[in-house]
Amino acid sequence: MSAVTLSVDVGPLRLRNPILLASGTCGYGLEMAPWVPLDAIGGIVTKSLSLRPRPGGPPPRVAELPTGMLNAIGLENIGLDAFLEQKLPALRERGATVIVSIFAETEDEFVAMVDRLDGVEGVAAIELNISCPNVKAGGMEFGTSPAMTERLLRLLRARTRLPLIAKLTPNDTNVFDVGAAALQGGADILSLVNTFLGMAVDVRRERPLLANVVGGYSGPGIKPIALRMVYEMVRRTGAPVIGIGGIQTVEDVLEFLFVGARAVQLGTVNFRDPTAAGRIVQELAQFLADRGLTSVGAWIGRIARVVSGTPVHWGSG
Amino acid sequence: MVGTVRDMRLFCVTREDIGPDIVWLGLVPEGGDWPPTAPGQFYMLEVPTSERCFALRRPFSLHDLQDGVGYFLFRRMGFGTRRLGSLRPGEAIRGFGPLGRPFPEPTGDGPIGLISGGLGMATLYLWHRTLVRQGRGVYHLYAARTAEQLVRLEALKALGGTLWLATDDGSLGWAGRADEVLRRYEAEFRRPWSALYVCGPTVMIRACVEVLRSYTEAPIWAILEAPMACGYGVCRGCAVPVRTNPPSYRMVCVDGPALSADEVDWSCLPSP
Repeated sequence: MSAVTLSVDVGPLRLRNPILLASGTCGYGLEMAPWVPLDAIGGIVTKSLSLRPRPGGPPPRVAELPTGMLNAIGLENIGLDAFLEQKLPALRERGATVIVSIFAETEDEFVAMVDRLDGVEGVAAIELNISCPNVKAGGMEFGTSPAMTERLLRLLRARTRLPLIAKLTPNDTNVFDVGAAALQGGADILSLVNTFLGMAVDVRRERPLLANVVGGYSGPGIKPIALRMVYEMVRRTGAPVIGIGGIQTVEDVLEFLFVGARAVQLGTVNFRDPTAAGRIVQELAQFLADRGLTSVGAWIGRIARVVSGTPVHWGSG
Repeated sequence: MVGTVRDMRLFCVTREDIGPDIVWLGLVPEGGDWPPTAPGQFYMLEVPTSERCFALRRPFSLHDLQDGVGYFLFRRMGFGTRRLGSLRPGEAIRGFGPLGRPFPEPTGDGPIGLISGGLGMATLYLWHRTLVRQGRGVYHLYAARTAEQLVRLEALKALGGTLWLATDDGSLGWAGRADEVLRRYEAEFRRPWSALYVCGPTVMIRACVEVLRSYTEAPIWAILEAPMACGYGVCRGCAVPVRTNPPSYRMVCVDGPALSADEVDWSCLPSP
């Protein structure tokens, strides 16, 4: 088992292994320390940080569904400076690979945050949350417009040599156009997908389950949809892709890697089982060893052995 | 003393109904004891589902601990509590904890008031026992809709202190809701309290706090629940609006479950 190499290169970003914790599901990373040694996983992606702290939105903020959950947290966060002062030193001490997720309502704010992060020791990459479904201003507006996305990436690319990850929304857009635009603008890596917009109603109480009415839908119910998008994004762009969406088990991880994702992010599963990431890293090594593979790289994109060409969409017919 | 948080396999050793759809569930950790757990702390219990079904864990206060068995007390309300309420002895679930902050210690030597609305009692029971053992005067008002929903009365009486009962329909104890009783029997409830702890449905807590605040300046702790995905501070789901400047939120899971009743912005909490 120890013979299996789990380290992966995701574009310019080298990871200890391909298991990352998704933004918004692992706090600022330190919250996970009781559950998994932070230097045993590929890395953590922080809760999306804004230039100034944000209190988030009113409750109820979360709701469970049979196949996942809805959330409308409203990007509550302590602000970038507080993260760098209060959280990052302890993360560095623990040997965590830290990807900082940032969110802004304007290009200027994005630029200011990237400037603040550039050259900071202990920051491995920046993930641009241009896809949060829960905030009206900014956020997803960048992520639904290819032109705005390309322009933003071009601005930020000029400010830093840190790997830039564009996190894409599956909502209200052609995710492939936006992905291509992000790459065109200078993104190193694409991560997809963020949550799907959804809603649910409590018919007995005659009201939506979320105070915000609509929110982001995540969990195992979205996995096949996310997997298809990741597969096609890899096929169409050839870019380094981080797969996200409904991963619960090592089999789910293996599926995303099989279709070409170079790493994955575990999200909603962390709520249900904070020990999942640590266990999945070991299970991944075991699976590869059992198949006689010596590196995870040998598994990534293995779908090319059995499927060629571009997928044809038959619709529902 | 507070134990380090742990994810455990928990075996069901007993499960019975002790009231209308009120479940008394006894769990024992595999190969060991429960971590030291302070009154107020809770565990996230797995909802037993098939491998292909999704369910978040559910937060439950540790209600009681006897001879290594941890007891949980809840009502079958929805999917999760129905599934947990059908566990059979020998079956196992996973659970992690202890989570949340222990109840704030009262200052001063005055008596302590506990107000339980329905199964809010599940959370205050261990605190009642602890306070009595500390030699404090404990007055516990336990209110529910009907007599049959007042459970574990013998155990509560055995703890010592003063137990007052109330039912909406007057079938046992004083007649009326908890807040009505607090108003009507004001003379009984006007005491030099060191602190008051109120646990139950959010509307009940809010109504009780309003009455209590009209005649006492003692600290009042509201023990709240809220939809919660993780229990350990990362999902930010269980937000309670508080009247800070500027307004902000506290999380039931990591800042609570006991929050200062004066700080909670009751007008911004969802009504039931």
